[in-house]
Amino acid sequence: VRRRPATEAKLVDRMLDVGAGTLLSNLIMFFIILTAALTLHAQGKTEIATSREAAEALRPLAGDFAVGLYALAIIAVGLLSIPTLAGSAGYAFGEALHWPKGFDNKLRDAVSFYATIILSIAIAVLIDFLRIDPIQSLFWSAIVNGVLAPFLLVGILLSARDPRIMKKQQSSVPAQVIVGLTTVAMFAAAGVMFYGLLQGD
Amino acid sequence: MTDRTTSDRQVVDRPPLRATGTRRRVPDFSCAAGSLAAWEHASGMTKPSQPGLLRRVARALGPGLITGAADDDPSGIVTYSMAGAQHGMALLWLAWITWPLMAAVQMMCARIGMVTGKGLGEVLTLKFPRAVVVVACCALFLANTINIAADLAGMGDAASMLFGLRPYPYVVLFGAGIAFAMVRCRYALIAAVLKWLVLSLFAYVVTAFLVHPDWPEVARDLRPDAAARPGDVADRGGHPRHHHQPLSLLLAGLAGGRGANAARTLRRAASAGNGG
Repeated sequence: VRRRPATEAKLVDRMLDVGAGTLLSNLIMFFIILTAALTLHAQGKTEIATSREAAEALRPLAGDFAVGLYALAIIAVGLLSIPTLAGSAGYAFGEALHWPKGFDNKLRDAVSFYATIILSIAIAVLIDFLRIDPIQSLFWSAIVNGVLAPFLLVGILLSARDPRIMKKQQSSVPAQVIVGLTTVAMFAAAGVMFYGLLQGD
Repeated sequence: MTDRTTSDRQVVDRPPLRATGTRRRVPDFSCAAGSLAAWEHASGMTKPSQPGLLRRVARALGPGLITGAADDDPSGIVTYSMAGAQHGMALLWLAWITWPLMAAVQMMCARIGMVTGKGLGEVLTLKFPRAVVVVACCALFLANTINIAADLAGMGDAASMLFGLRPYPYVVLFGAGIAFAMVRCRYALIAAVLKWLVLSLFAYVVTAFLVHPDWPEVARDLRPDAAARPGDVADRGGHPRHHHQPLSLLLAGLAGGRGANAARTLRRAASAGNGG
């Protein structure tokens, strides 16, 4: 069955959606940095070692409920993002190796797919039992992702500009340029990080 | 652009296509935690199509607005907090400069999914040797697992602050609960409720306004060169400098947080495309 090409209207719809979603995501990032700067940094508290200290940033709004508000936000976004993280690994393997995949399958019909997901979460729980300072581990995970992301971006970019794969609906040249610059910037960030680690400071 | 009315009509004129497409696709997404947006898109498509640009914009914006906020995961929230606490407003510029970059990356992923109708993993096997893609999958698995560990640790810590006890019981509880729900339940339905809790992140927006910052100074710190002199910024308040996380690590962490979002949205964006 030949697929109908994606209509321009739907692509524009998605562009609006993606633009608004990422804007909101970055707006939240902006205000978290700003609020931490205005509260913690302004009070001379430059080092966050515990969740309780991170929660203090919300004190001007919530007073003694700052801890509760912070915990609510952390747990909510965690419950939403963990399934996405585990699921994306399951899908990635499933697509690359042609496993039966997708959450509509029963466990016994897509054993490998579900096993990947369960294994990922189980290993994560074990890692947490091995040590670990939660603040530090949150931080290191961002760094591991920072190293992986640029390589994935190269794959995405090369695929999106391939007329055969994209059925002649390749990404526009400006989009390719922006994603190319993003890739370079993320390689640079990873390089700067390793330089910093080697300097040992 | 010029044929917007035509394309509008195209969309409006084909409700049967959309409906059947949805019926066929929804099971695919029904529980895909990785395709929350896809599920929402799919369910959005079951609504009768309405003409009019405004309504179309409103409908297009719906899912993205909330899933956008959900993109800032626990590790992101902590990294941003650390950045602000250590360097004040010196790293604020990263927040706006990464917007078009992220938007372009996600749009490219969405486009690949919508045009090919395949997930990204499969598309990459068309372009690269399968072994390379499998190595990339392993790296993704590793990175995501560490990310999950970090998120669980943050959640366990938060819950222990709230309810007492040590964090570990909560880590096991959250981990087991999520795994069970993903296998047994329709997690997308749970997520559709949970996502409203993400609005609690707006507490940071409200707090920023409550403390009445010097907005012109905030605007000055939006310039990227503010980061070139982090020492000045850190010392501006006259506080002694404590032992800092090196700036290079923080920068990488921030980029990584954004990168994690990109990686995470790959699957979501690509699978959302299947509905198109």
